[in-house]
Amino acid sequence: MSEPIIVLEKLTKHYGKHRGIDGLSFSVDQGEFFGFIGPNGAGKSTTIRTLMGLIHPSGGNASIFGLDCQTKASVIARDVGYLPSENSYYENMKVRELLQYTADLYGRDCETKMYELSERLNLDLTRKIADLSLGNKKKVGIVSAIMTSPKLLIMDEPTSGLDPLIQQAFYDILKEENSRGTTIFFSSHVLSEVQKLCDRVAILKEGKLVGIQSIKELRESGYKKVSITVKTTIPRDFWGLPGIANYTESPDKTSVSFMYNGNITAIIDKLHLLHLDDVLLEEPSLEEIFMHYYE
Amino acid sequence: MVILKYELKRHRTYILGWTIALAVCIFLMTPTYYSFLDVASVELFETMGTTDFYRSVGVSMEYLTSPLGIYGFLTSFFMIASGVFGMHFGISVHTRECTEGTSEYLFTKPFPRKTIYWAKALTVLIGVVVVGAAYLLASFLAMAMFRSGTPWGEFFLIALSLTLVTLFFAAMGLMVGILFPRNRSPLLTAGLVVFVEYCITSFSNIISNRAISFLSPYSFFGAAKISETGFYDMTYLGWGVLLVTLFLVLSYGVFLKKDIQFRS
Repeated sequence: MSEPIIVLEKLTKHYGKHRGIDGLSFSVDQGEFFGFIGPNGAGKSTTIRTLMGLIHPSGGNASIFGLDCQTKASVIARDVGYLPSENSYYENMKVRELLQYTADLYGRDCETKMYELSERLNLDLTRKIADLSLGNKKKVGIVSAIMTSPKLLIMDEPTSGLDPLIQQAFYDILKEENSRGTTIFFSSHVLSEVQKLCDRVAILKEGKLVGIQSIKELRESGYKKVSITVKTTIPRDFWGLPGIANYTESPDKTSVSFMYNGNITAIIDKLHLLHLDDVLLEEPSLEEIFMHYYE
Repeated sequence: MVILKYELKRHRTYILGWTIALAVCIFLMTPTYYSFLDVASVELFETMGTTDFYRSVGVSMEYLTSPLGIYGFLTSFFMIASGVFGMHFGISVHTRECTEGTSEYLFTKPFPRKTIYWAKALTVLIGVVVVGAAYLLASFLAMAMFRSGTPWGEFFLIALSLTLVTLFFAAMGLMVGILFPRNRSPLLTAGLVVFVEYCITSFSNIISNRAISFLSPYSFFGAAKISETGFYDMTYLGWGVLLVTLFLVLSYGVFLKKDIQFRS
């Protein structure tokens, strides 16, 4: 079993009376591609900022590489590439100057990787930061985080503002980094990208950890999405089966869809009793599973 | 050193702007005011020199007509500008990270907060020294070129007092910037604080209350007093050093422990 790189133990942060995060406990293993999902305001950035030593927890503790995130933040930072959710950099600098500043701060020669990443992400190094669009500023942050070849990448909502082509290039870069052994902690509310990239995912709701599962397990949790269209109406009490959730029906009650977690034969037996027009049995998206968590 | 280098680069234009402005102004204004002194009648000075305005800025008719009088008088006003510069620089060197949203970039790099603190404090110190040195040099040139018989020892102390006042406000600014990192109007804050401090000195001069004068650095370096005694008032100097130390210790302690503030 791999060593845990990030460990959170009952990590809590309150802003006065306002909730930040409440008793978060989980760990991220070495080499893992770990997703951290939750809607806006769930506490993702608060968790990450506590991990980076930017804010102090109200309770509990967090460690990275076995070092305390509060007292050893600068030592930890040597091997961490961080992409904040906010895309703000020194406006009067040119992109190249800022990336050189990053390299100088890490005391590393990152020129080759800087040019390679900039080319792949189509980032113009000669432009002034102040003149960049939101997406281009995000690219600057991505290159700045990855070019130092860190052991751990912490990325807070990294794809917001990126166009689909660049997003794909970014995913490819992350996959390559991960295959080289870089641990990636990836926060997002875009579930499809977490589904595409991550090994495991932690779901955060109102500052609390709702669940932590591998993407594979999440998909194999047994839920199927069932969509049915019939010639006559389907009475609401027709199914009478346990394991049905998110039940929705059309106004004329000839089309229904729901999530089902139970014996599939029982559903098929029921379907035999209907005058079917169409049946669709499919894997639910992570989003649908996620929404189920949020009910 | 890396952070210091980039901070200096970041604030280069700002420091240069203030340096040129103060140096050019004192260089041009010194001969202008001395020529005014040369043509003005004694009666005019006798009338002006006894008004509360001159008492409030800590000069007298005798002092105004002395070789360093006009220079000391002008420097007392330039200290307002340099005070605004020092305080604004001290505040904004910290608040800019928050208001421009760059704190998450800088504070997540492999440098402890104490290094960041001292790099920023040193940037401000260098800025203050550059402005002060340029002011001193421009003053020296103006006096050497347009005024003979300048007592250079006292001149140096008066010119240096501008740097010391700037340094005082810079240290105060560092503290204010760290305590209120979301301040979006550092220039307004600096202007208000400096103006109030200047008024405190004026008020204490008019009512001749020494206790009140300890509240403002402008009282610590009165040009007339320096010319009279040949050095700074050691009580004021000690008190000033104590306050600056207090500002630095307090700001350092808070900076190490406080949560970083973000723009959003």
